[in-house]
Amino acid sequence: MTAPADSSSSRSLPMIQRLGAVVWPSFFAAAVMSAAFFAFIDPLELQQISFPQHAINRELGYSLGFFMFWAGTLCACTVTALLMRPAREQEEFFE
Amino acid sequence: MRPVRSIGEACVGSARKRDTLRQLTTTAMLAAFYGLPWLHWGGTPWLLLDIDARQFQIAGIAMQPEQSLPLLWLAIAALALLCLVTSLHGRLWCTYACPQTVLTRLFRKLTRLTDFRGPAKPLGAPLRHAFWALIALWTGISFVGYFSPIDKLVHGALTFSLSGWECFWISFYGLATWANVVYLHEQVCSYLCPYSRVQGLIADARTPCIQYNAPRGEPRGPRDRDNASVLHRSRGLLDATTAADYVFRAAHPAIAGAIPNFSPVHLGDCIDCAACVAACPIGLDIRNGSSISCIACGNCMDACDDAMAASHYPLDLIHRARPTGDGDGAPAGLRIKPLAFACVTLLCVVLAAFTAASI
Repeated sequence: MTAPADSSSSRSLPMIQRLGAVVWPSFFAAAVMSAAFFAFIDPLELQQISFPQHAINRELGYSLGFFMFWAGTLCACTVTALLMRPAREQEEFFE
Repeated sequence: MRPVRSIGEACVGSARKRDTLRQLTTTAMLAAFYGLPWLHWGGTPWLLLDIDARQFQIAGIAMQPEQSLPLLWLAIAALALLCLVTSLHGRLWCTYACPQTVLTRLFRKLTRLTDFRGPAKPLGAPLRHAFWALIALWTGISFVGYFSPIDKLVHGALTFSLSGWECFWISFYGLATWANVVYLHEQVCSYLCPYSRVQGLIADARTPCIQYNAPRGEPRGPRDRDNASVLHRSRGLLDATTAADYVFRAAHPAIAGAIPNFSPVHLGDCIDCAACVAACPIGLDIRNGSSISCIACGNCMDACDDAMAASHYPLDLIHRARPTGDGDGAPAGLRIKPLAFACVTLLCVVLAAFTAASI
């Protein structure tokens, strides 16, 4: 006895749910990845072997690392959300 | 004949007990979150993950981030413990301890406090938002205070000498707190929190949840004030199938048609006042069955108990109980899931102790 709305496409999901489903898991994954990564890697040591000509402090290193991780996870979550949407094909393509 | 019972005391007692427990846990969680960064032990902070100096201070033990493997095991143990508690007792975490619940409750308390009457009424909303902005800012400072000494942070904030990144993360966390509570509140639980989706995997057939006693309450409907409770009438409780049928009819009027008018002798105890629906923060009708979006906040229980007390009916028409299912009682036997979660918790604690000892 499912109501018609329940079985319809994910396009009927509330905007906040779609946005949240992309932003929140990617944020959380990035936070966990940063914590695990920076537990073992000191950003200052990383800077010395990667960009020795640019002086940074640890705060910048952590923040850059976190946003790099978040950018990656955000991209992955966005593509997942895109692929979960049913494709809207034009009728004439099947003629 | 109207049943004579000490309903007044019973109502005040049970509702007060739930309310006191909620207030106590809310206060304890808030005190822990805001207080922990300030706690010092023998001159060193009790809990400080100083990531700028790469030096952790936990309960008097100093360690490098590289040595934090025991913390990882402890975090997994805490997760497994959460699963164990959920499996045994339902969503107690959501009801009492989740930061989203606790902060939302704090905001609602603030809303009630700033709901002025009379000429001061226009002052209420600006005051509420000003206070909430301050609390959100303080939450941001406290959060960053777990990663950087908080006394220096507060001093920096007061003298406007915080570093750029400190400002950024305080604003980031403060803004997230502010918006999560003001704009999202329970939508976080319904749409964003994975916990509600995995609870089916964590819970088993004997995990208690908040539910409506349909055999006692159905068929629902308004009635004269002189109608006694079914517990004091010859009708008694319905069988589970009939009750479920009435629930289905009430929940799907488009399919089942309009509900007929029942005679007072057939009516159940639900007076259909809809106080439970009005009290639910996400507008669920608990009478139509439990939902995974229900965070077991207990507002519907309180509202229903008040309505039952007003009608001089026994309380607990909506109560926290194990699902009864179709059978007579809860199935007996070993519960695999809680056992497994308990084993994982123990294993992770042992691993944490083992890795801590080998550092």
